[in-house]
Amino acid sequence: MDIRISIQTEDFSVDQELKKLGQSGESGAVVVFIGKVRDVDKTLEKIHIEHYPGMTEERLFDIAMQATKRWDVHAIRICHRVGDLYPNDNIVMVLVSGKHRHNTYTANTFVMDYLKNFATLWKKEHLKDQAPYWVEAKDSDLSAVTNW
Amino acid sequence: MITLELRYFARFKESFGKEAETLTLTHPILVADLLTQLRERGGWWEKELQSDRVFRVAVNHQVVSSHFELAANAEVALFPPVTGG
Repeated sequence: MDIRISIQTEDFSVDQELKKLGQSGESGAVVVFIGKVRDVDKTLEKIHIEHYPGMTEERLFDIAMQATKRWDVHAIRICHRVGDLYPNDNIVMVLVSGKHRHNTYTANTFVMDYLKNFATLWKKEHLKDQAPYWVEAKDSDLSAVTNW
Repeated sequence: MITLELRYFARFKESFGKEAETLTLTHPILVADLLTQLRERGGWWEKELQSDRVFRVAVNHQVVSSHFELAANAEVALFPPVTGG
């Protein structure tokens, strides 16, 4: 099983990741999810993402393994950025390749739902006119997991 | 003697004013006992670790319950619910 996890400060390249996927021709579908920094109200200066080195990578690997056991997919790549990120920056990429699109879409959604609840990452928002604050976990993220 | 490596993340790191510390104990204790000890420090420790607050405890990178017994050299991390993605 081709699972690769990375936690990094620098941006990622979807093109490069797509090129690293297996070239055997067995995959008929690739689904890429990219999470970005939102600034709907134009009040955000930046976000800061902290993580627990070691545990984050282990949890993400476990999540990817669970996905490969539940759906017929060939490769999963999870890349999450940490440090200071600004509006419109990329935060996270989940790339799943598989034989058919339904399994591939579903596995990708599963990975993101579990990442948001179990990967040891924390987000701090810095608004332009307020003291920075740590984002609170959302009930909607937890309910997303209980639905699987 | 039992040595525990405690680590704090995100809001906890700021509330407690430290990101890590070493705790030396004379005998094994449960996670619940450790939390009681930390709460007795008062202030932010008591506030953040109140039993009605939601937070996680991980031992050697695995989230555990309050009944988990802490063995020697365990890395014990305390942190708020995660918010990545």
